[in-house]
Amino acid sequence: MDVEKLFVFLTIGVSVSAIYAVSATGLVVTYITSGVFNFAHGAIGMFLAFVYWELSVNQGWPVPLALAVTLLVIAPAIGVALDVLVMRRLVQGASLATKLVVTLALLVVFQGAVLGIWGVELRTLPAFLEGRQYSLAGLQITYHQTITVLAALVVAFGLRFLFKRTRLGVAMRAVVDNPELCAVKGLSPNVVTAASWAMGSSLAGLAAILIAPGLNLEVNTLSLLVVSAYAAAVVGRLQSLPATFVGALILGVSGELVGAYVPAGNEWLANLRPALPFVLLFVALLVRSETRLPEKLKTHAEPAPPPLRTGIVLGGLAVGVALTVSGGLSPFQLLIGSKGLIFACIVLSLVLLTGLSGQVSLMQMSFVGIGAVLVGKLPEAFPYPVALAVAGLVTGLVGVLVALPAVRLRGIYIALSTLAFAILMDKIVFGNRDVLGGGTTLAVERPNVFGLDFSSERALFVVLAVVAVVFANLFLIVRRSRFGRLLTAVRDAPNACQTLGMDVTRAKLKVFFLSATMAGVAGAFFGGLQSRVGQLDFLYFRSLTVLLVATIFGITSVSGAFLGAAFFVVLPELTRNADSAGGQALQPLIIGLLAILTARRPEGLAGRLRAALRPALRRVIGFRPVASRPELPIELSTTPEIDIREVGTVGAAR
Amino acid sequence: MLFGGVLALDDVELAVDAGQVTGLIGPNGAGKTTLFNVVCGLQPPTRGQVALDGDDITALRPFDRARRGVGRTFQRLEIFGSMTAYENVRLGAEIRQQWDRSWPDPDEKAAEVMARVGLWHVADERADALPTGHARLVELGRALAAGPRVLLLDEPSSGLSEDESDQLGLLLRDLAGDGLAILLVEHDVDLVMGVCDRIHVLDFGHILAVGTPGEVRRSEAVQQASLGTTAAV
Repeated sequence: MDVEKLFVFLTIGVSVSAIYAVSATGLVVTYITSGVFNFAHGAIGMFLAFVYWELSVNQGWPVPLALAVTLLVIAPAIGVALDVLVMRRLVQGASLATKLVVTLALLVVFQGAVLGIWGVELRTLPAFLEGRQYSLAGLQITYHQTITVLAALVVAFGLRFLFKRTRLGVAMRAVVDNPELCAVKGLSPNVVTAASWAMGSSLAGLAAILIAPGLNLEVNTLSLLVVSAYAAAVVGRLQSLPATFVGALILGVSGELVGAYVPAGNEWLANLRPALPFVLLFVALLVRSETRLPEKLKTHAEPAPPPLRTGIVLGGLAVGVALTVSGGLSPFQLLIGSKGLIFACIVLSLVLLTGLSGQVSLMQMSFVGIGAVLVGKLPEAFPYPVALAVAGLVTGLVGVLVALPAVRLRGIYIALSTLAFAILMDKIVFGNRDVLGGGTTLAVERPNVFGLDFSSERALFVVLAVVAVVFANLFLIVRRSRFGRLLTAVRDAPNACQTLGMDVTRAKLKVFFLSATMAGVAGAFFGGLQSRVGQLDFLYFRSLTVLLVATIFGITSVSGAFLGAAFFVVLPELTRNADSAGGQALQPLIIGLLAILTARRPEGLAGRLRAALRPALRRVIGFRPVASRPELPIELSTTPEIDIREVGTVGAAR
Repeated sequence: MLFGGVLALDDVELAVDAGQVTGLIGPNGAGKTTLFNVVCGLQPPTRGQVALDGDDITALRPFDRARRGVGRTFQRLEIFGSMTAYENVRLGAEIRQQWDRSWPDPDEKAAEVMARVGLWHVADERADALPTGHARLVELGRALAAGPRVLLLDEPSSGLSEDESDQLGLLLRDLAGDGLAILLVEHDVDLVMGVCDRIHVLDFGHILAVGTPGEVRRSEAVQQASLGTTAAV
């Protein structure tokens, strides 16, 4: 082995590690203090790197001044603003899903903001003391690398001092479990969380500014680098800063070594390096599994499911309407309608998973992609229904595999593992030239059952209406079943379920299987509708958008799924007229802000609408919730019989 | 049991016998809830053993322990908040029925338990809208509906009125009379002294004293370490 080469890559690896460590520390500091795992951490850093570019490059400010203003003024201001305006209003008793959705929405908002302000053209950020280097023990080391490592050391020792030696630091460690303790320390919990968000934000910015010179200043790449920080933070079990540093070191060094020693030329291996952080995140989830108890969720209102007959009658009516109306629609309108129906199916798979059982998936569009690709790749000899079944089942099994490592752990880890898997799918499957990558697309056939051809726009629209009705009724059947009640129980109080004798892990895996199967089947139709699918259709980002739209309209109900789907297809049409960069920014901004505004109520806009319409609806279709228990038996209505002698014994025991 | 760097429980030894109510008292932070978590499997002990009927169950997962008869309630409520009180109790029976076909019909079982615990008047209230005292009784009812043999109760009377507390005491004696082994963590001294056959006093992870209510009350160590210094016990 070439020792010199090894040392060169180790040097780079260490400086990359330092950046991961800075970013991960910021993540852990906010998590420890506020209990919020900030998925927007990378996006905030990315935003700050753009701000720094604006000040130092575009406006020509001196580097130290630009750096100080960005990291010591703007970053803390953003952090404090987020805490005061968003987090503080949500976090008290908020469910994990709510917290997740809010930070995911922030991710989307920051990305939209950067696109809106700076547009899409590529920029580069110069390194500190660009091009200057010195040699140490025969190695060429740049000043930027040196500054990076020094910055990480300053952060490490600074935080150590803060947590061990200062009142604020001690309070920060205690506040999440015990807000009263802060009061004892003479600090308001609000000051403490604001400080931690300010610090988290500055650290995110510092990491992004340090890493950006090695890359282009680009929205997606910079937001995603944070996944390496997630992995490092998981190594530290989201609480230990020294272990987080170790995790960062493993990630940074192994990434460089893979880059240096894995032979070029093989498509799958070439994709391995960008995928490495996600692989390591998985490994970290497996190895560093944490045994802390699952956090409690805040429970929410959901509509009582209508009886089976109502569901079927309403569904039949809807299909009838679809059949009649479709005759008068243009092919373009039919296409939009069909797309809406498919999104309704995708959102329904999330309603089942997140709304009913409280699990969060950040990879629903990857499931959709797997379903579409499977139907596209299966030989034509397979009859369509078989292809559809294969797509559903295989996707379901993938869902189980992804959930398996994290399902025993707290909900945040499932979110992390599904996000990691979504990005992994982007990079090594959908981005692979053998599958979809490099601008290639894959043809996906349309339904064709027993010689009946449903490939016309109108026939497909009606078929999709039937599929959506089946999905909706399937969800309602699950909700009314014992399995549905068990899932609700898992969502409301997972610990109680275990101590009552329920195999919670198995229940979670079952619901993951069902949800992924639904998404896979929806994906098969999605592919058919578009005729061809490409890499961009299944980007991880789209999974986030689907989840956000689902929560805006109500992730607990069928009506929410359909309203969300309608919004999903109408929004692009509404923003189409805006100019290209602005329009691109507008959608994520609208979705993100709406999600933040509505996150407190899982029943979403559909829930409010239902509440408003309920009296009228009851008059029209006579719908009322089914009585859920037998009447009180008369012989049991008296107080239990009491054995007087027992009471005597009690007295004697005194 | 190492917990967050602090030794939460240190060589605690404690036996709970069938047909008896065993009390566990001690100031806040003494390790009572940690002990419960270790017994029902939600937290692994760093060392030591949990045995049921002489079988070592330390390696079993929480639901396996529950199926062997370990049931509990929680100090920090773990209620099915989106369901009614009745549905909570019924689900306890339903979960049991899922793995035990011979278990009675959930509605029957729920009706029996609801009456026994005295919950019919709140049967149709959403559980997360109940006052804590009643929510605790719902947790007790839910645990009973699953038919435990050992029942761990974490402060079941907090939030109850004096009358309701007395009723609870009678119910606990009654349950013990049916052969249940009950481990009771409680701050209400009158209740503990009234219903327990034996009491363990826990402080800073150590058992300070064991004995009948009368013996514990007279014990000097307990007087100094806990009864005398905290209002809680």
